[in-house]
Amino acid sequence: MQLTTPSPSPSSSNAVDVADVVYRYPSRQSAFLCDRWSLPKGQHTFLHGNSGSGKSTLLSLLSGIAQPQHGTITLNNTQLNTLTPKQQDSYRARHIGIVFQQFNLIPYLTVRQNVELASYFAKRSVDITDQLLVMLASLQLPEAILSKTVSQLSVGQQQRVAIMRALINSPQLLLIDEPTSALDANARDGFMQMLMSASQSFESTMIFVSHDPSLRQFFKHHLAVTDICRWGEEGLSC
Amino acid sequence: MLRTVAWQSLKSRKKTVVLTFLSLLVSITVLIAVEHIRFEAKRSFNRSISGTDLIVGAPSGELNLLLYSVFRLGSPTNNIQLSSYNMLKEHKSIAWTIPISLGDSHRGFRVMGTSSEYFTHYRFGEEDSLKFTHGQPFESLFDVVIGSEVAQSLGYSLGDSIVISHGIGSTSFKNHEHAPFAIRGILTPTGTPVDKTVHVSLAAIEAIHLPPSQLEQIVEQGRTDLLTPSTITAVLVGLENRFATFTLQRQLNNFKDDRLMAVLPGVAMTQLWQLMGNIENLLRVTAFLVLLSSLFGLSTMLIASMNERRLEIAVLRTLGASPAIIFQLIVYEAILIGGLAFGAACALVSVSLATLSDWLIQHYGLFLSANIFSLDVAILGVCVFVAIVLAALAPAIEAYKNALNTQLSPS
Repeated sequence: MQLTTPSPSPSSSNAVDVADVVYRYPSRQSAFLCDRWSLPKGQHTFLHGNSGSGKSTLLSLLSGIAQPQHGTITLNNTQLNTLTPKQQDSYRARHIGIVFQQFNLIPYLTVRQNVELASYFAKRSVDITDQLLVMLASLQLPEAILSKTVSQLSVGQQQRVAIMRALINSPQLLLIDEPTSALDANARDGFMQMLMSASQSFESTMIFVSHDPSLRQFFKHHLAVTDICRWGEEGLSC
Repeated sequence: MLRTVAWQSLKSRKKTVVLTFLSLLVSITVLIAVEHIRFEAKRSFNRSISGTDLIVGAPSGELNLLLYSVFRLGSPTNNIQLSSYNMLKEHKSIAWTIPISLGDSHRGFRVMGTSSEYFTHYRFGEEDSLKFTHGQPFESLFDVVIGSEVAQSLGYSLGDSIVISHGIGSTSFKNHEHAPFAIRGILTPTGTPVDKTVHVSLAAIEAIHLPPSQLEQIVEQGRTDLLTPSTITAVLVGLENRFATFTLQRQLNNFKDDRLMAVLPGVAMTQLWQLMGNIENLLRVTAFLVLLSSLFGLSTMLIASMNERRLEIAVLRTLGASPAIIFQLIVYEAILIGGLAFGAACALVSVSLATLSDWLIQHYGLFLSANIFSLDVAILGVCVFVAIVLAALAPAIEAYKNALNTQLSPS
């Protein structure tokens, strides 16, 4: 296991720099605290932790969906808290790919429309058909799937489509949250191999969150959420 | 792309969306129909008479004079002397006069005694003159010219014989059987009370009220000049110069040799329409209340869907959709349902009017254009659009809040 070293200031070689972050849910007394943490560009990191340890909260903060009350989050030299909420949404659309554990796709849209939606919010005007065909081949999905609605797909197919959508804008950062929880062991291994292969070809930095330790084998870099963040009272250091 | 998402989202909730759509369709249809009928009724009302500067009759109130002389409604309380009519005919400020004599009917349709000047000078709508579909104006004593609705309702054609009844009820115990009339002309539809009128000459009105033997004698002797009435009901007057209208009105109201009252048709018609304003407003309010209830339904449907759409909103947020876009999406959906309901309601009203126009004319004498596109309906469309957007605000704000609170967790 390799623990990433704390870095004192945002560096241009880092994909993620977190400094003195405090985030408090309105309905919760304790705060989510992350003092300093950084992740080099292009690194694939396995982030593990028990339920409730703050994995999803960290991803919400990194994606700009949740705003910390204090501290800075810098992604590829862009400090998120200097951006307006609209700019943060735009940044997320262009530079971050996200895959959830269950609710990845919009069920009433076709596969193509789901993927195009990501391209639309990133304000890309290019035709993505060729890109889609290449991705379908690499994810071992048939072309006919493009016109199917999500509700017609198996769980495994849905997760592969979710990866396709997350990668369509060639994101600098991939945030993956428990994507294999609904898959059996064989499907899980196949899925992981495809994910690693696809993300390597896009040279994206990846943070893969899971509570399943068996998935560590696919990553060189491992990290426990509790190594970098914790729930506690504001003002106390990690 | 957002339109596609909104449309597909609605399609995925077919049952509730279709019911909401139907509810809106019914309410918007009622609203458009009420507005269109109101507009058409007002148009039809205002086009009943044009080009006439004064209506002169016995003093009985402006509205009463207007009602019986133009709309063939109510009863004249008194008549004016024929000499007064002759005075008007010869007045230097007056270009033309049309005498009117009322009091008889034919199977529920009013009979009006007049002169040939009626067919020359009477104007309706945009200064349109009367035209004949068949035949021509009356020439001989027992010729009659009927309005289009009379011909259509009673199935009359040229040459048919009709008998006039005394009084204005649809059933009369006294028919002027001794003086049957022959239909000489049938007028083209005008959408005015003219269509429901049976026109005869003033001499004919005088003739049918004579004892049969006396009438027979006059006819045999060819002395129709003796058939001159001593009184008539009213006179429609056209002036040489409209600037003289008020002066002449004052003169006639102060006329010493007969008791006369002169009214301006436009002023009297405005007064009459104002009387109907309350009914008009009541219809409008009812239609708006129906729409309001449907809009509540739309709002409820969208709010009810918010819980099941929490995850969908989370997905959109992670893709980069701002809370404002989520807000916009919900408003889009409402506008899509409302827009479709409005379009369908317009089509429904138009098709219904086109299909039922003959029946409406035949049974109710209503001339309603199937073309519903008027400024009033356009304004109504804008009001409905604004109302739909307002109805969508509560669910859109709810969605906006959901979007703000989105976390990358299903919990």
